[in-house]
Amino acid sequence: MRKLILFLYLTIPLYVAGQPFRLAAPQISVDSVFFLNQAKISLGFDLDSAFILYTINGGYPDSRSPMYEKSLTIRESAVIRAKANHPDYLPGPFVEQELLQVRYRPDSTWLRTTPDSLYAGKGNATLFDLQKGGQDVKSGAWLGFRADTVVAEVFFKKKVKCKTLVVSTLLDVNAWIFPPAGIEVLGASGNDPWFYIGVWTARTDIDLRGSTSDYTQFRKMHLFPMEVDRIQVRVRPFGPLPAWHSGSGQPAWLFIDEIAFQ
Amino acid sequence: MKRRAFLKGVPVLGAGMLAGFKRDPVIGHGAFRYRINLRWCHANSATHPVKNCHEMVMDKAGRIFMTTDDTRNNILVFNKDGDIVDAWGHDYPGAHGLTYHDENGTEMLYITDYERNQVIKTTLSGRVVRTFGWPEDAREYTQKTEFRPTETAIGPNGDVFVADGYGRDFIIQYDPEGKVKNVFGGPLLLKNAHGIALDTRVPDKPVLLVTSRAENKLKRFSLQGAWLETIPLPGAYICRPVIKGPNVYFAVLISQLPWDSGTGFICILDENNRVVSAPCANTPRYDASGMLQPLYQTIQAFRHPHDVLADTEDNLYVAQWNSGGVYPARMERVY
Repeated sequence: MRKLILFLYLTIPLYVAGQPFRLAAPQISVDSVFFLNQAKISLGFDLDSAFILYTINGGYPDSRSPMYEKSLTIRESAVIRAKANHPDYLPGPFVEQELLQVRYRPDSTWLRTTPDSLYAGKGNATLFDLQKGGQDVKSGAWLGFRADTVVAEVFFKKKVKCKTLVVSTLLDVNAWIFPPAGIEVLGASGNDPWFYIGVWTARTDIDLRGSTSDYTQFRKMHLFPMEVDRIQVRVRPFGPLPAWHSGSGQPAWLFIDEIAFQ
Repeated sequence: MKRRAFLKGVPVLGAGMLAGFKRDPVIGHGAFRYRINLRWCHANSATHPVKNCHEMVMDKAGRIFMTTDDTRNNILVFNKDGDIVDAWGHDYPGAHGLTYHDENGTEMLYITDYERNQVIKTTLSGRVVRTFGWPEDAREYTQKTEFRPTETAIGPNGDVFVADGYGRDFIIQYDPEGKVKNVFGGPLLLKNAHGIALDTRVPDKPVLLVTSRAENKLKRFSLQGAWLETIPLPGAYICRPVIKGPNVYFAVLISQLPWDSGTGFICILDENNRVVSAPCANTPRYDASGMLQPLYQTIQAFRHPHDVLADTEDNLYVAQWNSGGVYPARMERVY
C-alpha cells in the first residue's frame, strides 16, 4: 500500500502539471574501472529534492531499489545502474557503468605488435596497468593499431587458471575506430607448445552505421580452465572499412586500453 | 493492518494530490529562477518552418528576431507573446550569428552565414547594406572556405569583430566599411571560437568576451586583440555570451560529448563572472580554491540550447539547434 501511495505521489503531479520535464541521468564516478581488491563508486545528481535509485546486482533501478546516500565500495565485478527521481519531474534514463575485478596480473609482458607512434601510450605496460582510457585517444591510456593483428604475450611466475579474459576496446565509427573482428587466446605451461584456450569471433550481422561512440566496449570470453604460466592474446582488427563508410576500403583502427585476466 | 497502513498513507496521498495542482516547477538557482514555457511560440511550421534555430536579438520596439538555416524564412520576427509578426530572408543557407546594433539611431542586424563565408549587414526589414567577405589579405587565410564565421560583435567605434568559429578560430576585426584591420586569437588560443560579445560592464573599459567552446571556457581579449583572462566553466559548451546589466547569459549546447548528446542547459554569470544560476543543470558550486565544479544537465527541458535572449523584464527566450525543429521557448523569471 505504501508503495502504491508513493507511486501516486510521484506520478499524479506529473499528469496535472502542464509540462512534465524528464530528468537527466545521474553522474557516475569510479576510482578504478579495473580493480584488484575493491573499487569506490560515487553517484551525483545535485538538484534539490532529487534522489538516486541504483542497482549493483545486474537489475534495473525501480521503486524497490536502494536509494543512494553515500559512496559505495564493491569487492567483486559489478554493473552499477542508477536513475534520478524527483516528485516534480519524470524519472530520467538510467546510466550504467561496469567495473571489472582483475584476478591475475602478469609478472612480465611482451607486446609483439608495435602500436602506431601517435597512439603508443606507455607501450605494452598500457595494456596491463588497470587504467581505463576515456574519450581522448591521445591521453596515453589507449594503444592504437592499424591493420595488424595485435599479439601480446604475458608470463606468470606462478601458474594461473583464468576463467575469463576481457579485452577493453573503443568504438568510434566516425574516427575510423572499429571493434575487433576476433580474439584468439593460447595458453602454455613450461616448455609445452601453445594450446588454444579461447576463441571469440565478432558477429558480422551488426550494422555499425550511426552507432554512438563508446569507450567501454568490453570483449569478454570464457577460457578453457587449464593451468598455464604464459598466455598469448591475438586481437584481429576489423579489416577494411565497409562500403557505407567515408573511408571505405581503408583499414579500420583498433584501440585497446586494457587486457584483464579474471 | 492493511487498513491502518492505508489510513497512514491518506495524508501523504492528499499532499500528493494537492501538489498535483501546482504550476510548472521553478527551475534555476539563487535569484535567477524561471518557469519554462516550451509552447510560448505560436508559429505554424507549414507557413514558417525552421530547421536549426540559432540566435535571437531584440529591437527597440521589443520585437524578437531569430536566425534559422531554413531558407524559406531565414529570419523570423516574433512579438513577446510568441506570435510571428514578420519573416524574411531566403539567401542565408548558413544563417547563424545574429547581432543587433543601434547605429546612431538606425537599427541594424549583422547575420553571420558560415555557408556563404560572409557576414551580411541588413536593416530590420532585410535590406542588405553591406557584406563582409573572407579576409583575403590576411596571411592566416589562403582560401574563402577556410572562413566559416559564426558570430559578430560591434565595437564602440563601429568596427566589426567576427568570430571564425567553424573556420580557423581567429577573430577578424573589420572597419565599418569592411576593411580588415586586425586578426587575432586563432587555434592556439581558441578552440571553437563560436561566440563573441562586446563586454561594456566596466565603464570606459570595453573588452571582448569570446567563447572557446570545445575548451568549456570564456576568454577576455582587449579590443586590440591581446588575451587578458580565461574563465573556466567546466561542463559548459558555451554558444555565445550575452551581456545584460551586470550579468552574462549564455546557452550551453551540451554538457558532455558527443555533440548531439542532448545535454544542454542555460547559465548565468554575475559581475565577477561566477556562475550564479544554471537552469536545468546542477547547483553551481565553487571549491575552496575558487574552481567551479563541473556542470551537467539535470533536467531535460532543452536538448541543444543555442542562444538566449533576455528581455526588459529579464525573461529569457531560448533558441535550439538540432532539436527536432522546435521553436524557441520562453523562461519567465520568478521573483
